[in-house]
Formats: sequence, C-alpha cells, structure tokens
Amino acid sequence: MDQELLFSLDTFYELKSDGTVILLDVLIGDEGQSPDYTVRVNTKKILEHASSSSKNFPVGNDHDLDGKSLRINGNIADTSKDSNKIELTIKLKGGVEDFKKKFSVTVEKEGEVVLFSIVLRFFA
Amino acid sequence: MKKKLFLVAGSFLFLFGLSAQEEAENKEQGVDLLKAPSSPASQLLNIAPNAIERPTDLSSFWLSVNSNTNNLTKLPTNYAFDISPAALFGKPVSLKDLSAVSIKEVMRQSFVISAGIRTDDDTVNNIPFYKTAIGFKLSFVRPEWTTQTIRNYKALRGIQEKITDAVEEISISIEDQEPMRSKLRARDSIRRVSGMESEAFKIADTELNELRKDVLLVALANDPVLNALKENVRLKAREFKIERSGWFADLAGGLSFQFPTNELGYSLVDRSGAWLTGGYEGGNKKLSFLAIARYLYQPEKIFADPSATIPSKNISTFDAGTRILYATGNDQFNFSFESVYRSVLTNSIIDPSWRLVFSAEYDIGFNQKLSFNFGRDFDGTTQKGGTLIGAINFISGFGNKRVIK
Repeated sequence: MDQELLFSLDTFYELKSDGTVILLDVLIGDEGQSPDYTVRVNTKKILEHASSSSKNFPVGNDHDLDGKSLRINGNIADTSKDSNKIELTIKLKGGVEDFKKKFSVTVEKEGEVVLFSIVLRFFA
Repeated sequence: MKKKLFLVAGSFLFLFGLSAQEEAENKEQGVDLLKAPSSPASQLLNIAPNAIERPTDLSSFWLSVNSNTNNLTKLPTNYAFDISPAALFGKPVSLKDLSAVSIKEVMRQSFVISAGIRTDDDTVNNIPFYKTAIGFKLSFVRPEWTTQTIRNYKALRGIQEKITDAVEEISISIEDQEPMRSKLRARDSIRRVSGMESEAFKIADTELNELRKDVLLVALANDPVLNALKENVRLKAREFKIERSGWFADLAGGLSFQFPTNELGYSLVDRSGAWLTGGYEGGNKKLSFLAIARYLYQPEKIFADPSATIPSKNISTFDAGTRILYATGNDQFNFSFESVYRSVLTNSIIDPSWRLVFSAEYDIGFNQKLSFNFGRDFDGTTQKGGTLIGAINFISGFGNKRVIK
C-alpha cells in the first residue's frame, strides 16, 4: 500500500473581536526540506508561493476576518540528504486561544513530495 | 588448476588488503585527522556519535531531557545532545535558507550547542564520578551555491509552484461537492447551536475531516497533470544536491569538567579543544583548499607523540594542516599537496614535527594511470626514498573501461 502523503485539516478559529491582528506561523521541517505554499483569506492571496517557513505573518485585523476562511495550500519536497522527515506546523495567535497543529511523516522514498491543504474558518 | 586460481585470488586479496591498510594509515596521518568533530562536547566525553540526541524543537528537547533524567529526578549517566538555537527558538531552516551567505544568517543557521554528561570510574576508590562537557560549532563564511545548483533549484521550484496551484484548485472544488457540502453545513450549524466543546461538534468535526481527507486523496490521485508534476518533482528532489563555490570559515570548541567528589563546588578541567577550519571550495572548477588549526588540552592521544612517551596530563598541543586539491575538468590530471604540523606546547621532550606530501595522477587512457607521490614524513625521511622514477606507479586495469580511483 502506498504511503499517504497528505496533510489535511478543516477547522474553526475563534476571534476576540477587539481589533487584534491575527498572526500566522507556517513552520516547515526538517532542515533542508523544500516547501512551496500559498496563503489566502477567502480568495485574496496574502502570501504567494512562499519557499521557506513564515513566522508571525500578519493575516489581518480580527474585525475584518470574521466569517472568512484562511486557506494554506502547498507541498513539501524531501530535498534534505540528512533526513526523510517532513513536518508542517501551523500556528495562529491573537484569537481567544492560540492554535497549533503539527503534522509529521517520514517518507519511505528519497525525494518524495507531501501535499497539504489547511482551512481555518474564523468566527467571533 | 583450481589451486592456481586460489593462489591468484589469494594474492589479489592480500595486495588489496595491504593497499587498503596503507591508505588508512596515510589518512590517519593526514589533514583529515585534524578536522573538527561533529559534536565537540560528545567527543571530549567519548560519547559515540550515534548516541547523541538532536532535538529539533522545544517539545522534543523537553521530552529528551525528561526521559534521560527520569522526569528530572536523577542525573543521566551517559547523555549528550546537540541543539540548534535557530531551529529551537526561531524559524526552521528550509532549503532556500541554505543558500544564504550573509555572515549574520550563516552564523544563525550554523550555530550548534553541544553538551553532555557521563559517569566515569575512579580506578583507585572504585567510585563512579561525573564528567560534563559543553561545546559549540559555528560557521562565519559559507560558499555560495554554484550556478548549476541555482539552476536545479529554480527548476524544482517551478514544478512545486504548479503543484501548489493544482492543490489549491482541487481543495476548493471539493467543498462544492456532495457529501462535503452537507457535512460542512451540518458542522457549522452544530457549532452555532452547541459550541465547539460539545460532543456533537467533536463528532461532526472528526467525520468531516476524515471525509475531507478521503475525498481530497482521491481527487488529487485522479488528476493526471498533478501526478506527472509529482513524478517530475520527485526526480528533481532526489537528484538535488548542494554544490558550493567560494571561501568558508568554521570554528568549533569545547570544554569538559570532572567532578571527582560528585559535588558541584569542586570541579577540575578535564579536557578542552578548539578547531579553526577555513579554505576555498572550488565547486565544479575542482580547485579546493583546506586549512585547519587545532588546539587541544589534555588530549586522549598526543598527535605529536604517537609512541606515547609522555603522559597527557597538563599537556597542550597545537596541530595544523593544509591541503590543496586540483583536478582538470575531465579528471585526466589531478594533483594534491598536503602539509601537517604537530607540536606539544607545554613540554620540551617532544619536538615539533611536520609532514609534506605531493601527489599527482595522470590518466593516460584505457584503464591506465600514472601516479606520482613524493614527500617528507614526520621523522624527516622522504616518503618514497630512491629516485623520482622509483616513485612513479603505473596502474593498469582489466576488463571494460572504467574510472580508476
């Protein structure tokens, strides 16, 4: 059976609605792996074809985000010669609670590519 | 006939064994011996490289410390770790980041702290005592990626961008399909009525995420364009390797202490070392230069004293070496020049000594190679003795044409 190489998530994120800027982390591991991803709020691209991890990236003011969806889609290629582990950590800060989700897989074949599709739906 | 075959095979094996042994001995004397250890603290404590833990985030570091200290209730007896503050507290280092050459970024990415602890036996009192060590590794200057590496990276990225676009399109399209649409609506209704902490929401959320993953997997797998792109990126990623060209400079150091009475208030410096490495990496121009300087305090073995005539207690040593390698584009001609200097700083019994070796190889075609080695050994003797002609070897291979190394 082929290895399942997809990180998928669809969840909600509760906003405080006090004007806080929501911050996003997209962290890619292990060292030397090659990511590509695009981040959208609804249909608007806020980060296009990023090629490395992002930390504290401003998604927008929570007043403007209520009812919208944050979509992070992309892929990570196993280009590290020292590790076959591929990790993706998504963090959101600025809402009622911080959000963190970590995905991890050790690919069986060198050079494998892992796809990911994440949706975070904002509500107040 | 069989006997003769055995004799011939035996002779080959014997000659091969001798040549391998000679090569190993030469390497042991060479610049490679002076290279900085991958983990300075572990080397000072004699902890095997495969026993070193390398946590990549804070939670795995905490787990590692907890499991080795039995939830912080005892000191570990044999534990070493290497941590990269950049990975632990900052942004993880992706492939693109490895192309950075600014001093600040290179130092941030390459800085590694190594630490360890182990128990040793006091042979007089037969009481185990603790030893600890701390060390670091750091690069100041890192060579740039070669033009070919940049070209390969851009090709890889181009395909990855197309994959991302395809994943985006497919993941949005599945939300309009049944039963995904109904499940999304149902989960949203439950959240509004019962809240996210309710059991009903948790069930609806789990069901939706399981369905989403299954639907997405099928949709992604059935897209022929995406499959072709994935196959292409696999090929490119597998073949991708970083080649660099330019100057480099690295520094490593470490210090170990022993606690003879197992009390924090009484410690002695056990061993220490510092390694400075620099040079030029030629990339595909095939010219490279390496220079290493090493300082050791109370080393396990004194390099300048191979017969161990003096004890290493309170001894400091300084060793250095250089190596120049050059090969023509087609590898037909290559030469290397290597020099090694070794000395004991705090003892006059052992005189400093040095070694120089020059070697050249010329491929004259069809499995035949002329090689030439000449040099001076640590004891002052010329390595090949005799005349220049005596130092030239002629190597000829059998069978099909192949590269002789």
